[in-house]
Amino acid sequence: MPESRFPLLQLPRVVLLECIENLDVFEIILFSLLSKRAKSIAKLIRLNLLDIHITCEGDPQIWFKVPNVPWLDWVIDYNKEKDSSVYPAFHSILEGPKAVNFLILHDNGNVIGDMKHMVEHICEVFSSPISEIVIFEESLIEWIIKFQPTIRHVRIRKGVVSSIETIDRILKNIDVTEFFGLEPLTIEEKSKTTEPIPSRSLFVFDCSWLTLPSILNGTNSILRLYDSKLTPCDINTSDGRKRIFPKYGKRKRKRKKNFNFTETEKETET
Amino acid sequence: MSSTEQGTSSAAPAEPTTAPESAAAPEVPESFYYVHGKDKVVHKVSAGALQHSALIHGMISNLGYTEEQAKANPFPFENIDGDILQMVVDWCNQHKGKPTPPEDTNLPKQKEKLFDLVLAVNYLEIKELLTYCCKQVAMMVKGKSPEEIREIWMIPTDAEDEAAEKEAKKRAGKEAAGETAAAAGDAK
Repeated sequence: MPESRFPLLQLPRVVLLECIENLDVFEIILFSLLSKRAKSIAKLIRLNLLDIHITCEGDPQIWFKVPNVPWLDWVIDYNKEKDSSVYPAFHSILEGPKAVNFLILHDNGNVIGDMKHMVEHICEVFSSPISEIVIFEESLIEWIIKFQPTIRHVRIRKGVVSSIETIDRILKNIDVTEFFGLEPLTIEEKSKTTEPIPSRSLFVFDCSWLTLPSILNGTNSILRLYDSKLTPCDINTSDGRKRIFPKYGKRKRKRKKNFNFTETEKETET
Repeated sequence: MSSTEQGTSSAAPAEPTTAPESAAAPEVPESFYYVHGKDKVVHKVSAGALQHSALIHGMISNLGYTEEQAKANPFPFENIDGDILQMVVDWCNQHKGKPTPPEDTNLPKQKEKLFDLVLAVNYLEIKELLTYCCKQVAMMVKGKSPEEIREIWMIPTDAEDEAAEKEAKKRAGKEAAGETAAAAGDAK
């Protein structure tokens, strides 16, 4: 046996698992990527559930937290700033009382595909669902519908959705349980949807496509509508609703108690 | 057979205090046991140090040896190299009757030695030392790339695993065929 090597897989199973339990989150991920056998071993460890977020802060990123270690974030960041030989790289920063550990991987031109595979892998190894996704690229829509259609927090970035059909498809196929944020869409002004928007809390940053039936048919209890023609009075009072959409007058009692908070803001151009 | 006398000295008994009941308490002499590894070198170890090993502790409890019997019958651990057993005995002596610290920097740095130590410690059921060893194994790959981890821990690729599995099946098939042929020969 070479002096510098250690035949880990020849250890008794219990000892092998104890060794793997001492690895940190990144090390477990890198180990589990080495082979099918390594992955199946990693899946046997009693790991903490991860809180997994997908986002894009300049670079596509996968964030995760271990819920009982709230002061530490783990981030896989894909970039192509440096020569490919320097990847993967590790980097840590302190932000006040919090620390963030980065694993920087190479964006080799197929970053969205690589990121999707990595998320699927992490979800499987850690038996954890994605809890938040920022949809910053259109192909993520079909992927999340297929991979995990029920999700706690979704935010769709500005300009990602280019047709009302796509919005309808999202609203029909993704069950957002907590927060749904929609930044301005690049769709024709006349396009509208009447689909209910799932999620307890709904933030819409450009409401040109949003209709009162869409709101009244949903189960949202917190609404924040920016640049909307609707007012809280339109949504919350029977007179307002009748004025906008007379046929919904009959539903006033049921709808009124659903909204805990409604706010609409008009953007003003300076 | 040579003999090393490891960890034979126990702490000197404290001076009797003024309390009469303390002075009257009988002093229990420490008992010693003997172990040897593959190299047959016998190590004399106190019962207190051996308490770390659940395996040896269980053997002592079950056998009920007197000191003379223990000396005449050292516990044989033929599957453990002499130098590795020496490390284990040293560790048990160093940590006799003490709370174990969270880190242990005295573990071997050479990976081959650490592998043998982990196997020995697991066999001897020394829980605290096994915990240290496992941490040390995990530390080997701190900050390493996937290919470096593969290299250090000798993780085969999927293709290598598949080839090894095929080879094992082939070998098992041949052995089974050989046994069948031998059985048929015996029947004739």
